[in-house]
Amino acid sequence: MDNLSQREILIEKYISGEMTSEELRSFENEMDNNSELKEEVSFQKDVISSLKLERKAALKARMDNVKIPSPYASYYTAGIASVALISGIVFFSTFWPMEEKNIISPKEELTEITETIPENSGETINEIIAESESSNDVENEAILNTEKDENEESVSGRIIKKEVISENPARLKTENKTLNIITPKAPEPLSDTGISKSDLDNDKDDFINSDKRETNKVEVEIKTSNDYKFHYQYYNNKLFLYGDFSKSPYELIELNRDDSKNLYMYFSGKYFALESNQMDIVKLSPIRDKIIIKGLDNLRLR
Amino acid sequence: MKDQEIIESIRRGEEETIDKLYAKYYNMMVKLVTKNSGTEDEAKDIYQDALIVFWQKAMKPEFVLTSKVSTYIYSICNNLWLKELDRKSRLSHEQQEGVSTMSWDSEERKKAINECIAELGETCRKVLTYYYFDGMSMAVIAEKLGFANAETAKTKKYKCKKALDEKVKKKYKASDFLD
Repeated sequence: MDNLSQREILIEKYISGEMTSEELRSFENEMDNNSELKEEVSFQKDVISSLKLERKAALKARMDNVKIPSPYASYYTAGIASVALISGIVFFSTFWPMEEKNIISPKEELTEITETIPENSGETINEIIAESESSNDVENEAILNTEKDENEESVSGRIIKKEVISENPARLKTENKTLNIITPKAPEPLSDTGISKSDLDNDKDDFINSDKRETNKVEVEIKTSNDYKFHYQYYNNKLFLYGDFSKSPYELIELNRDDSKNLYMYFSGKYFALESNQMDIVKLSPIRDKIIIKGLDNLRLR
Repeated sequence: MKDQEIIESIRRGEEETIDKLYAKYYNMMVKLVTKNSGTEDEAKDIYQDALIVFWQKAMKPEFVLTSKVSTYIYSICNNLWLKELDRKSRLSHEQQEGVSTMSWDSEERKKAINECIAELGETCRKVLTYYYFDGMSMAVIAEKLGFANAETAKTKKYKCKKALDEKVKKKYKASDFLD
């Protein structure tokens, strides 16, 4: 018995090629003279090679079931693109809060009003505008001589006197000193207030135009608050952003499907998913999924 | 996972590491083949073979990693594909000459062997394939399959192999008489 297992060990050693040249020579010599050994070696070769094939097939089957990340997220992008094409509407908007055109009208308005209220000079635009609104409240009839009812929701601007004095399209108001609300939904009121088209036909024209469509969909308000530095609320198609969004432009990307609508925000190099029906004020945290980011990048830069 | 951790994980027989490596380098390796006149199916096949070779090599105690894992797998992949291209070109020149060198006898025996392997219990099949194909040590097999120690694994392997051999011989002989 011991002899037999010794022989088996030798056969395996021979098959796996682990013999020294000396062992090999003597073993092959023995095979030549022992047909039974030769036959056993041939048999073992077959058994072991079949076992190997069995295992190799199992490992390959295992790999076949591994989920492969798609190269450069191209599948995902294609998916989004087709959704966009089918529904035909990818709303794409860029808001430039407190910058450029949104502020054109307020600025004109301001120069007008700040002349009458000189003590305001030197304050920040934000505060001045806020002040100008409240001055409207107070001096409404006296200075401007209109029957304004100060309805906060009346969107279209009014032309008062001959100057372009309108309700501030970038509606600013101060509820108290810690909470400013800015609504940078400029284009519609702007174009209604007689500001020449050329004012709008600047470099951001594309954005402004799509912005115009967009404003029908999602209303945005930026709020500054001591408690919420980088938060949002989103419900009833109204988005409230809390924090300082003046450093760089933010962009809203709306993906419309037949039955659902997803809103994403791009701000300062990061994407944020905005959950609808978000009644609570929650912190904005960037999307980390590389595939989603890639897909959004493709949409945004297209 | 660092390269050395990959090697250590393979030596513990952790097959999840294959999954991770496979997914990680899939696009890179497949591109290597498809850019060199291979189809994606061929690429996948070659890449799987290459990873298996890497797995077997890393399993050996004397294996020393001399480059990055990705570079290593890439070079195996490259070699395998060159071999395959060579085989394909020779095949087309010689028009499948010498395909049936295998005797009918040998073919029948292989069939019998495969049937017997399929009939093996799961533990026996694992012990034998881990040992013969992966080249796992008895200690690793014991750990993976929950045996008390390497000695137990060795005994198990011996018994399983014995049982398989006898089964095949019986079957092969029986088929002799049947035909």
